[in-house]
Amino acid sequence: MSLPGLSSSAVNTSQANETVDIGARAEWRIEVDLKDTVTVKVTKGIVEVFGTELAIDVEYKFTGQKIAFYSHEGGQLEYSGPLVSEYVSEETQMSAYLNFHFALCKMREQDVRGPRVLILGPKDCGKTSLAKILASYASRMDYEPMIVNLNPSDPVFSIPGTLTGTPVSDILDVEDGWGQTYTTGVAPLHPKQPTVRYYGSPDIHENLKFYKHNVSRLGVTVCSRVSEDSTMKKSGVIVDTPPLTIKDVEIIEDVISDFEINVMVVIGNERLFIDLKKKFQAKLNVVKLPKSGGCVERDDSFTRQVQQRSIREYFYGTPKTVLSPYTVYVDFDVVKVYKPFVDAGGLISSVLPIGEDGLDNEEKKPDPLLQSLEPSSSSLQHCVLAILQADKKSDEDIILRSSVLGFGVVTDVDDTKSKLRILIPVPGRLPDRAMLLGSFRYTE
Amino acid sequence: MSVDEKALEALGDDFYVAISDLTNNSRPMITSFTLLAQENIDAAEYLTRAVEKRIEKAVPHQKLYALYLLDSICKNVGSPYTLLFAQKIYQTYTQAYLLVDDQTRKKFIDLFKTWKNAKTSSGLPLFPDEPMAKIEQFLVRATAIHQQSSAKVNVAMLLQTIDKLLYLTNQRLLRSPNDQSIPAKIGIIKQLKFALQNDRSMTQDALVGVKRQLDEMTTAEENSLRSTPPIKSPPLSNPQPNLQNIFNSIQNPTATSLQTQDTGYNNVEDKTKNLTLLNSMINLKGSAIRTPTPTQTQQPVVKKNNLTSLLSSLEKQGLVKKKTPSPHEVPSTSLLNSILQKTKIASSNRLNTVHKSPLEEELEKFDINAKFVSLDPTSTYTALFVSRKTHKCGTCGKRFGDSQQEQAKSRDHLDWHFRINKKLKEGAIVQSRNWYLDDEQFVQFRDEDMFGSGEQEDKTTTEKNNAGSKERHYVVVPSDSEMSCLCGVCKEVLKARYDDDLGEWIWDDAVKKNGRIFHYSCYSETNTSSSLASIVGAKRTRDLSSLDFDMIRNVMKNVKLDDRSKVNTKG
Repeated sequence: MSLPGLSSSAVNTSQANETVDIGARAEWRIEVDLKDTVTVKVTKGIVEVFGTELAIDVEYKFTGQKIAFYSHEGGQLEYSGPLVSEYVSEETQMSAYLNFHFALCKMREQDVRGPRVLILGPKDCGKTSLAKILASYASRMDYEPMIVNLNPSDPVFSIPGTLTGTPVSDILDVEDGWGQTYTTGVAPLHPKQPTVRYYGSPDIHENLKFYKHNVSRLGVTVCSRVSEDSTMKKSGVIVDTPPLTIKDVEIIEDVISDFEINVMVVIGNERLFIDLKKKFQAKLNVVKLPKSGGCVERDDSFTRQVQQRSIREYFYGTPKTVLSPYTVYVDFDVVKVYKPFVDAGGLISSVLPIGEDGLDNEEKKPDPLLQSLEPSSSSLQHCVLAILQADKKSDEDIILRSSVLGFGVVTDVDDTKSKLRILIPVPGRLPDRAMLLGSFRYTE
Repeated sequence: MSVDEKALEALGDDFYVAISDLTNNSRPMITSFTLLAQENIDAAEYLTRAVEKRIEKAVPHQKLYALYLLDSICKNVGSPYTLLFAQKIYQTYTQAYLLVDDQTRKKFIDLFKTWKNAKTSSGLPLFPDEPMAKIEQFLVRATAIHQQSSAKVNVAMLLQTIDKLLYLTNQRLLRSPNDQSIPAKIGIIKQLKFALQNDRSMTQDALVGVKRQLDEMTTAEENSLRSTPPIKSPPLSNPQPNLQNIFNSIQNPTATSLQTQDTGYNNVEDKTKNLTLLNSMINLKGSAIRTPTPTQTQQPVVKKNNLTSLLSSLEKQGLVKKKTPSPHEVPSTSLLNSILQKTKIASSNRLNTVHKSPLEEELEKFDINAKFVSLDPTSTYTALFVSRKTHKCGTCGKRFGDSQQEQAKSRDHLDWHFRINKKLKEGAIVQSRNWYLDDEQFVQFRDEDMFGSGEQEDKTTTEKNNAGSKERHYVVVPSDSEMSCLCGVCKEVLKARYDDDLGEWIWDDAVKKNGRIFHYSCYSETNTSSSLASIVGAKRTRDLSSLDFDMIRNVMKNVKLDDRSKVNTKG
């Protein structure tokens, strides 16, 4: 099937189709390198990827993913292409996740206000996978939950550094991880419509105050969207988080109130579960779920490559939906760039445990959340800029409230002519909006 | 009354007719009525009245569903419905409450509890405090009275129960005339009755015990009666002597009338329906008999201390299962141990099966508070993911159900795939990404507005832009012009064609601006970006959002309309 020479680099290249039998309640776990593409086709049975059922005899292509194909009652598939690893495991936690989903459904059927789930757990324990599984299962039963991503390192329907809320109105795209948004235009599967806020760093502790600000603003938008829509109100909200520990209880408390959480699920960490249960069981349901054996540690370079890929896809699209971005040239004085405010104390507080120090600083004088930035090649070269909804002449509090209109990348800075070359996704002039600089860079 | 108001009133009447179909607890129906209420907020006053009228007029066991509708509208739509319902909520609720049975009353109370905690989207209580407090007082009083009455058991009540049991057992005898155990059982029940009538010295505890056992047996009889099909022979021939016999034996002055009434009903449903009526009649007779009569010569005289033994023999009879032709024979009376509780559970279960949707039943065992993790989800998986959705889309694997609504969805879905795939294969469009929505647009955004079926689109008339983008775009070829020209954007040739309806030569799907001809799609695409630029350049700070939104919408619609027209012309 695959073209000769296209994927010849890998050692274990397999040109012929291999057949895999998946037993009942088993899953086939594979790792595909970022530079390779694997084609998978289900030939028999109901096989799902993170809760989304695959069509029969349709080729799915995967690149740079670590995923599992689960079958509840057994199935068979064929694949071709190089895999870093592949094995069938019969020890899955999918039954537990299914049961959790059904328990959430019961809540949906019993009350007009459905479950608002907060998923917590250590790094690489399958939080995002669970979020995706729950969203897919809900979608398969015609619910429309809102998926909220509070992990800026792991982009969901957007680029890294963002916090998003997205109604899962239809089937998710297994090949893309989540799928396309309405901003893409024509896409092979139903696109989704996210609301996007830009925090700008993969690490929430780098500027906790600005992170919390964005979480609570996102909470306002998400809650008002949910309350306006009876289907979504019933379907509820699923909140995915960065790896938080009991030390971050302050953030957890904020998230609980910002998103009106009523179910908290802790994956694979008994200690965290007990601690959180003690603290929160009076207010909400605290549930423990086992960690899937399929979870693999992602090293930093893999994470970074995935982040870079999602920025590239934002501008250029995927092989299925190719997009063409535009380049604009603007003078320095046309743009208004802000960056999250970090003072000298901020640097220290990011190193120290959260709590005392940060509070002391706040009491002295309320620091602003943003600071203005003078364009220069040293400050902007190759930087990702969030173009906000707010006009560039707006007051700071309006800019702070503003969500994201889109993103741009500064591809070149000419200090002598005071000119910027910016890559933007939409044809036309650069919108006259305020822009927010984070720590992400992108080079083509 | 203005024309508008008449229209609204008519809408209210229509709504009343529609919600009269709410004869079972149908969540989809309640949801769609709620949506209707939401869409016709202008007619809120009339719709409110329609719902109130329905609650008032519905037969008692259907009142609850209408009340659920009221609840759904208030919780999901909120103002102005909450305010309108609040005016009469006390009357609506209490009047209905008084007319429904105990099980339904429980549901009423459960519902009221949710009202106390519910908040509208603005954070206010669902209903004002004053009627809520009144209803609460009412419920406190009503439940207190109820508890009192059920706590005290007297001989009159027992006799009433026995009469009911007798009636039911006789019914069963009619169904299974060959069952030898039944006449024996009837004999014992009669003895029991006689004993009770003549014995006034039983303690309250003993009476309660007897009543429990009787209640249990009554329930068992009722169940067995329901599950046993009636015999085919005309009921008149066989049962008459039996009935005669029974009623004579208890010296019933109204026996004849009862008997004729009884034979009038041939099916089980009717019989159970009229049970209450019969019961009340039997009751009358019972109370007449209770005054000691010296004429009961046929009955063996039973002494007080024999009562217990009688009951036990009765139990034995119940336990005897042989010779029963039907597999649905009276359940064993071993239940007698925990009678009251079990009756309660049994009756509430029966009620639940009536009120719960199949989905809820399927989900019953998954409780977030219990140990759900180790349950076996297989049957539920199959039921909800596979059996409920039998049609699988060959392109993406999404599943659809069998109902008409689902089939329509499935067709729309396939259409959508077809259009999109065609578009993607043609590769004609070079797309660029669009902007994200701002918060306000995001909150108002509904997916079905973008990609729903045709009907759904028509519904969303709120967007003024829809009408504009749905118009056909064409340019009439000027008489002094060539038949073909170049699009100002893509430089492709536009060829004129003759349109029969218009009687003119036209360039279809085109617009004329500043003397130049453009493909409509080319024009609107470039227009989108250029107008964005001009807007962005303008000094205005507000109102940007809605314009952007309309533009995105426009582009989406064009893609869609474009596709549709191609699909149509192809066929």
